[in-house]
Order: sequence, then structure tokens, then C-alpha cells
Amino acid sequence: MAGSVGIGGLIIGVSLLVVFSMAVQTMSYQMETSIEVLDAAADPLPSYAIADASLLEGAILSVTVTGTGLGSGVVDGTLVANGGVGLGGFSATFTVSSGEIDTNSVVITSHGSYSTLPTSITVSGQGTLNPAPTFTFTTGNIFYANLTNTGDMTIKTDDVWLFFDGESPTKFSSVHRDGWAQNQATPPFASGNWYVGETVDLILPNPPSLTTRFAVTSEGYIAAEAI
Amino acid sequence: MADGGASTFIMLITGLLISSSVSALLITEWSSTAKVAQVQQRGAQLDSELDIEFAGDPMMVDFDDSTLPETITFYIENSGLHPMDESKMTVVVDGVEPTSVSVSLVGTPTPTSWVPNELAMIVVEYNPASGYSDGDDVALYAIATSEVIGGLSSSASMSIEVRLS
Repeated sequence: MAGSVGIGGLIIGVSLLVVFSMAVQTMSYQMETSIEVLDAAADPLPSYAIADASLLEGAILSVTVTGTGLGSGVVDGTLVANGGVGLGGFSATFTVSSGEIDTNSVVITSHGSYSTLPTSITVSGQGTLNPAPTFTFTTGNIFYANLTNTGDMTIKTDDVWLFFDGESPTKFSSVHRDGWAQNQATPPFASGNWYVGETVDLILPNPPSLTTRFAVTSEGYIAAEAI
Repeated sequence: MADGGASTFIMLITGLLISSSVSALLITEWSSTAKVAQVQQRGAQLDSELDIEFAGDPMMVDFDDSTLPETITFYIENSGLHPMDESKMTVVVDGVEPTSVSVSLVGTPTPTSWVPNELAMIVVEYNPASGYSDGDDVALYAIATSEVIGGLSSSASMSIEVRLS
């Protein structure tokens, strides 16, 4: 009697221990699996593409009206750069108010690119104006790139880094501004959200030293483009 | 008969005592196991929330062999959710430890800790010369340790093949 009770107790005890160890093991597996699933679901990766990237050297970055041409008969028109050698292509518009050029009206529509810089900027196609409107300008390099969010998540531009020839890491949010092409005044910073499918223009006057490649990285995703 | 009843009673009491002891032991062990499992869970969760990634252009990793020590300079992003300890980083190039490695954080103003989405600049030095030259492809491996978070710390690593330029 006593022997059978002891053996029975032993069998039940061993069974309980087996059940206990199986429960612990199952709990451990479930925990690992749930963490992996949660991790995979909660961490989408960014994805984007560089449509184009180019560096214009010897570009006209800004134009300032120093003589308004009051009384010269000047009318709304365009500006032309004189004496430059290279690709050229500078163009800008201005408007006239009360018979003189509005000093805040000059809009650069193309910065151009010159190996030998222009010597002057004058009004185009309005003959000899007297007194002649006068313009001063600054030159430098300007970098253009178009970037598209091709992934399925909104990317924070604060999380995106730009590299120029593999160096000079620059936060995208620190250089991404709205409206460089429409206004000479330094525009405000663009939205920090880069939405799915959105193509953003990066226009960067006087970029870091750059000759070969432009790269964009975020959370291990890398896109690069030859200049 | 009376003897049989007494022995059965003794066996019953003994069985109850043993089963009570085993139950108490199992409950205690289960509690310990649950605590360990909780710590393991937090550790596993922390593991999943730590990550570092190469940042930059893998085709253009700066290599300067103009003077000794030669240097390889590259960048690593903290792409996890917690601060990492940049002072506890190990870097291996082609499976070999370089002469020395220095790590600094990138940004203006310079970050005081390596928080998520910030970069660390890694400068690997060789003296004597490494034998590398521009255009060589090398395998970079780095492992970094996190700051202590909730009493726990873990590590994250990255590896990538890059071209020196």
C-alpha cells in the first residue's frame, strides 16, 4: 500500500515538473516571438530615391538693386548678365513701381553657371536707360537635387543625413528650405515631414566641397547619385 | 485493522506534507522564473530597440595615407531608440583591429550624448601603414554598447563593405 502511494506520488511529481518546465519553455518562446513580431511591425524602414543631383559652379546667387533708374523710363522687365563665359543661363525678372525699380522685386529665375564670372548685370531689351539702373551681385556654387520618398512611411527630415563626396554630414532639415527659386530672401525652413510619394527640391547655395557623389542616408537606407 | 487504519492515516499525512512542500517549492520557483522571464523580456525588448547603421557613401569612405598614422574616417548613425555609449565601441577592419580608434559626435553644437538619429564620426588609425590604398574594398565591423537603461545595457552592431577613396 505504502509503496504504491509513494510510486504514485513520484509519478505525479515528475508529471508536474514536466508540465512546469514545458510551461516555462512555452512562455519563453511566446515572449521571443511576440517581441520579434512587434519589432517587425513597429519599425518600417525609410525608402527614397534621388531623381537628379547637380552642382552649378559660378552661379549668380543674389542680385541687389543699387540704382533704381528713377526717371529713366524703365518698365517691368528682365535682367541679363554680361561678360560671363561658360554655360551661362542667368535670368531674372523685376518690376517697376512709381517709375523706379522696386528694390525687393528682383526674382532670379535661373542662377546660371559660369567658368568666367559675368562683369555686370543690366536691364535687358529696354535700350539705353538714363540714369541707368545698377545692380550688384554675389556668386558662388549652387547644388540642386530632387528627392522622392518612395517608401510607405512619412520620413522626418531631421532623421536624414546628406553626404557630399562621402563627407561633410549635414542634416537634411538644416538645409531644406522653401522657395529658393522664387525669392532671393532666405526662405523659412521647409516642413520637417517628408510624405510618401512627395518629391522635394533641395537647393543649397555654397554647398560643402563636392566633386563626385551625393549620398543620402537614414536608418541604414542609403541612396547615392553621381554629380 | 486498527494498525492498517493508522498506517494509512500516517501515509495520508505524509503525502499531504510532501505535496504541500512541493507546492510551496513550485510556487517559489515559479515566482523566481517569472522574475527572470521579466528581466529576459526587458533585455530582449532592449535588444530589439538598439541599432546602429553605417551612414554616408559606401563608395567613398575617406582614406588618408599621405602621412602616418594613416586614417580611415567614416560615420555611424544611432538608428535605435535609446542613447548609445560612444566610448564603448569596438571597430574592426577586415577582421583586424587597427592601431587605434577615436570616436566623436557630429553636429553643431556637438551633442553631449549619442542619442537616436545622431552620427558618430569614427577615425581609424594605422601606424605602421595599413597596406590599403585608394579604391580598395574593406569590410567594416563595429559594435557599440548602449547606455544603462532601467538597469540594463545591451549592444548593437553593424557591418558593411566599403570602398576607400
